[in-house]
Amino acid sequence: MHFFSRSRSGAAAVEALRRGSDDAWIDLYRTLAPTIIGYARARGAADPEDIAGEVFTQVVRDLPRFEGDETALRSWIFTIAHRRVLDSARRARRRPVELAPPERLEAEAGAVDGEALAAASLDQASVLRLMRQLTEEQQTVVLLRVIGDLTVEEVAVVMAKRPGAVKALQRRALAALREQLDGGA
Amino acid sequence: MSWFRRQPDLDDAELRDALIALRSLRRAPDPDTEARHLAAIRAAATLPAAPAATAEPRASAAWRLPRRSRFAVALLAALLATSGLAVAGELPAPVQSAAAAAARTVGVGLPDASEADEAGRGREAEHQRGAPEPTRSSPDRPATEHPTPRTHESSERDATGPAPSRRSFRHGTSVNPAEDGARDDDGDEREPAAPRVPESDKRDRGAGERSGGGETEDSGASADGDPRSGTTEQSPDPAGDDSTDEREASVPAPAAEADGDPQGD
Repeated sequence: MHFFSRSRSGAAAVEALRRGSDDAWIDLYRTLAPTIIGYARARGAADPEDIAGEVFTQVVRDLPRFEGDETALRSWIFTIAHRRVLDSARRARRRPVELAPPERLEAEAGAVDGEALAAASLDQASVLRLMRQLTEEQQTVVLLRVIGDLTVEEVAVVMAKRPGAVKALQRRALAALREQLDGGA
Repeated sequence: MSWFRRQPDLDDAELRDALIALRSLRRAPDPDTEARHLAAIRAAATLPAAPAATAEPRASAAWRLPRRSRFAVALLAALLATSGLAVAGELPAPVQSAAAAAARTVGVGLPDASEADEAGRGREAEHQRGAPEPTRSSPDRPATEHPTPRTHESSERDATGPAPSRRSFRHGTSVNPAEDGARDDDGDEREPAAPRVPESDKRDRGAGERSGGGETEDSGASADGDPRSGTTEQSPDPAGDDSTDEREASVPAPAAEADGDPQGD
């Protein structure tokens, strides 16, 4: 795999998925499932792992209709994940389900990135409380950029917005977070 | 090395701790969940791929022929149905005429609508001239009505004149022993025909009842030739047609009752 250039590797990865390569699917799942689960958890989904399973099942089912390289594939997968999270939130509003509180998320996070988290002065529950002070779109931009590692252009594809609008949302969101952190300190 | 892993491109010195805390929300699924998801992915990746590649051409090939054959069968059925109706002469008149004209050009004879209409009219005329249709008279006939007087009157009409109109036929169906008696040649038996003058009798009878008088006295007075009763005018005519008039008079119109006209005019 190392002999692939960046563009070739993206095309080759998608082609391997189309062929049904087991390695390609495992690699895709192990790379993206934690980010999808993290994104769903940060948005307060009741069962993030189920959402990840539904997302990958839909990816497998709809891949024959997909056109594009690895970058487009990532945007597409997060678009599916974003919609699944919104559907889950809608269902939760119709049939009230207790959303995962930040404290529970902190307890569940446990060993994940423990070293980095220990080094940080802010825990997950605190940062999620800060995040919920943002607007819905600001949360989406920050979470997709930070947890999903998507570029501004990819986030624009997921949110069906122009990249300039995503940049503006990101700028305002980070300014609000800074303000809250300064105020809290 | 992974095809899909990448480095984060968002960094902010002031928000470093917040970003680390957010990134720590990523969590790999537990092994059981991962195994379940991967099994589902494998199943979905292998199963639908093969049918999806072959299903479309098969479906198009499978649907094209039945659709054509279905259309052909429907066309054939419509043709057979209209042909059958045309042969039976049951199509609507303009269509039947057109079909007959078209068939005539190729030497096939089909009933024409105009001929069918003429035949139908002829049948109606026969019915009007001949014996009354039981289906037309039966609704007017009460359930308790007896058919015998009707037969008697029909034979009488055959001897005396033309076919009865519907009105006289209706009167003919009524069973009135007094009418039968009036037609009798015996003069003694004609006397009970007095009840055929109901207007005056009813008035007299009503007056008698109101005044407390007996019914037999009133009817006897009318039988004695009371001018109001009109019995002398309604004495039976030897001609057979009078029986119809008498029967008509036995069912007076409401206006005639009010005027006291025994003829009902």
